Amino acid sequence: MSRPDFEQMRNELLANGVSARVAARSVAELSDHFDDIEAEAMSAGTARDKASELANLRLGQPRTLIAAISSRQDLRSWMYRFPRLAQVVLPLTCVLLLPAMPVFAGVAHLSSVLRWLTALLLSALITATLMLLLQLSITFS
Amino acid sequence: MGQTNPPFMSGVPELLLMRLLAQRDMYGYELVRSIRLVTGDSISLGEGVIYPVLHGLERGGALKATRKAVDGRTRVYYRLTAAGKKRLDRLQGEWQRIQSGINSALDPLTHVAT
Repeated sequence: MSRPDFEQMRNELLANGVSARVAARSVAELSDHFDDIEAEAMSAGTARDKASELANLRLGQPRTLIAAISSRQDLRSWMYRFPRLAQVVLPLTCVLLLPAMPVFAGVAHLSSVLRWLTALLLSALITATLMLLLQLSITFS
Repeated sequence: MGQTNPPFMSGVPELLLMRLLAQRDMYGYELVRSIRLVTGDSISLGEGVIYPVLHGLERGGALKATRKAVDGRTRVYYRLTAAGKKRLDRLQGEWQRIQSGINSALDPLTHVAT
């Protein structure tokens, strides 16, 4: 018997509405617990595959563990605990953040924006210099 | 770990976990080992099932979790808070009341007297 797929377990917990923090911590603790059972059995002289089998048996079926965590309302993310509130707060937050999106995008791509600004300033400077030279040549001709 | 637990075991893991944590801080695997030790293996838990109970108690303010590095591994240790101690006292009281009621109902002398 192999090690349970803890990553898959985490994804299923998230899909069931368990809060991301609880899902990550549950999976980390379950994985450590599995390792502890396995290590204890191996230190008592059990072969690795038998130790894994024992660890799987003692830890519990992934499906049972997922159900035990998902069934607890208090471990779910706030969006699942207060769906009506989420239905109001999330769209409202999106509407409020919409005008700030260009700023966020600018901050996220700051180096590109700075390059673009530098190019713009340089081209303006070159154009202004050419215009000045043209003006001077007209004046002194 | 042989037998499965009857349905009236609801709430027992919570009581046992808090009782053990009242003695000292422990991490999940230590708690399971202690439960097996103190109950003489008479209570079997799918060991992974204690984590949602611990996390629920933590959310309810009865426990506080702290990460500690032990032997090169990071462990999540649980500690009973002041609110947890109050909750444990209340649960212990309720459990003893129920236990004495059931003992009295199961006592054959009680039935002779009635």
